[in-house]
Amino acid sequence: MIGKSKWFSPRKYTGWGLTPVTWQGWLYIVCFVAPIAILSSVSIDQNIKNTFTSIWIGIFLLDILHIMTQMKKDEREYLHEAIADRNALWFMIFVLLISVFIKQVIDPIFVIALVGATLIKAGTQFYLRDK
Amino acid sequence: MQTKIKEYRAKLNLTQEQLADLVGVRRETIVFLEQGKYNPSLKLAHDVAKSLKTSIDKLFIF
Repeated sequence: MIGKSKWFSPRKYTGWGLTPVTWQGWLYIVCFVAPIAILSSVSIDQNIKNTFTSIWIGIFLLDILHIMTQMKKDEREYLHEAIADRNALWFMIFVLLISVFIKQVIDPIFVIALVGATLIKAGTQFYLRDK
Repeated sequence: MQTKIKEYRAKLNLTQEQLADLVGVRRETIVFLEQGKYNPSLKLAHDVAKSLKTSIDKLFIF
């Protein structure tokens, strides 16, 4: 893969993902964004543009995922992130439930999200059961 | 919880950064450990004690 985890740190106060902390990290971002910006200003076939952009973004997202898996966190950071993610999840569930009561319609996406989240929670508990 | 990490670290002339590297955590975690604001896992307590060439019961006072 391309990027290195030491170039970035996990976002704490501005959502999820990564933020560059070294010049290499900023250069990495520029190197991924620049070709898309240049391509959008060039007059070539739209299909070629779309194909290239999709592949380029796909590579970028895969590399970001790889960097995130390689990022080292100590136990205090893991604990804090777990608590913050749990709180964010509860807020999202609360807002989704409120939206159901306001709209009086159960959106299938809401059901998928809730059932999916329940399955992921069960799977995680099952995985962690003997650890 | 009180700790004597700072004392033992000073005896070995280690900086917080160096101790953090030895036990594989961030410097902030060492800062909070020294201030008694963070309860470490048994593994981290063991690693810190080992790095400071002492035992857990001498390092952490409950």
